[in-house]
Amino acid sequence: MMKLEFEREVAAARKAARAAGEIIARHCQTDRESWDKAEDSPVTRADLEANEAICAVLHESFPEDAILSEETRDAPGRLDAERLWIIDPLDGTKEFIQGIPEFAVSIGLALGGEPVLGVVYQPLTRECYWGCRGAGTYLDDAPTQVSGVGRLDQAVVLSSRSELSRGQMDPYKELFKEVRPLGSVALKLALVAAGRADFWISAAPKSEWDVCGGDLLLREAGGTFVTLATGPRRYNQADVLLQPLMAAGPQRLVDAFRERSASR
Amino acid sequence: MTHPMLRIQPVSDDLYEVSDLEIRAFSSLRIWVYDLEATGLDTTRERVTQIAGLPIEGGKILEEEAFVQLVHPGEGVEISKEVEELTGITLEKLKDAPPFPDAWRDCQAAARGSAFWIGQSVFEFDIPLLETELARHGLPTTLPATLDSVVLATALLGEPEGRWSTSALIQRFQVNIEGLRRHDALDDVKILARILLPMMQIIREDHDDRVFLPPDRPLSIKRHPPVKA
Repeated sequence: MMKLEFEREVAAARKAARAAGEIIARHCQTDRESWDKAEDSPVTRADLEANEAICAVLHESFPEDAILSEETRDAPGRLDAERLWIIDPLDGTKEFIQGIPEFAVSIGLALGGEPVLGVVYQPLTRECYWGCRGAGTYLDDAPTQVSGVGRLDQAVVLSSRSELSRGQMDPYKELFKEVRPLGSVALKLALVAAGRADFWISAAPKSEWDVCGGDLLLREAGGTFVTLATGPRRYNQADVLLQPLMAAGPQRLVDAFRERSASR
Repeated sequence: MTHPMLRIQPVSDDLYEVSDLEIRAFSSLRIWVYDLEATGLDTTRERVTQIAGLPIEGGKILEEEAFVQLVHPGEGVEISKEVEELTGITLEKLKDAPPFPDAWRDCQAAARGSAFWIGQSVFEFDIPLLETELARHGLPTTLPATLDSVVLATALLGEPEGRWSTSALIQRFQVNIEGLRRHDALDDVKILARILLPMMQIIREDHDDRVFLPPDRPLSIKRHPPVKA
């Protein structure tokens, strides 16, 4: 494998993701009794402990770097930071609670607002999707690319269960060959970056920590991630919310979707 | 739901096709092996009467973590003599059993932490039956990622003369089923787990520990023979 521009960062992020994944998998198998407690439930503990594990690894390796995490109180100082780690220690909480194995650890690194590293780790399958600027995207050690499908009506699209059940996908479903529900935004983006599905769309707001790692994976796998109104995301903004519609996948599918969705 | 990354396409009354699946490091994963018994075979109207499952992890069957629960099918539901004889489950045995929602919740809890579920003929029977039960009780019809061992067997061993029934797989792998009773959900799960171990060995040794069904070369699966009226 070529020399990576962010070799140390990749090693630390993968180590952090695995450590978090082990914690999450352990909590996932906790006795049912403790799942019924509203406070101190396994989901809360898994989220917080995984967050601590990731922050500890990153802080040890890169003490100067700023961190934005779903589970840590936002520090305004991060807006001045050149390097920002953007973390969701447990993306796909609903599925985690329901015992559906569709949740992931997501870690991204933004440099001057541009994503340069992404790691998405699935604790139960122990699959690690990772990539960094200029080096491509990998599933464990195998390089990946986005799908070669060129038409929306041939595309298998990943979407969120809740958006499907709320009817938010109804205006778009008929554009595609198939829409599959799947948990975790980060996992969906990673699967599209690995060519395991063709496309992803969302009609609900997302946060920077949901998408930063996956965004980099898509860029390096030959695809793109955009909000249709504003294009690619510049990260480390005061308002961490990204507004729908959003799409990810091969550029030609994104272009075709932008055109078709504009008329709906 | 089947495995979210698996495509299933009905072809005819006798066949369906599956494609587009990749599971890596298969033999290292925690997998929930499960089975249901029911009041009959019509998945649109029958009721679940027993749920069982156990995990396999790292190539080991974890019988000490097995789950089994009889399920009350609801007031006024009958079980035919044939089904009673087949499963050994009578209404009398079910009178104090919990209703489906409670049993299902407990099974999901026992299975927590598994990468996916697997069962025999589940694409044709267990999954549609579960979806019917969940809908009947007003519960979300979201099911865990699930594989069918008939599909897995066909992918690994090729197409058999008939289909990869439990009996055919027991014979193929010379599985010892002494002391286990077919059509008891827990014993069926133990039998399937014993069938899966040699299948996992094949996956590990001959397939780089990966199950891969390409998107463009679907695998044809023979459907379960129609049930006599």
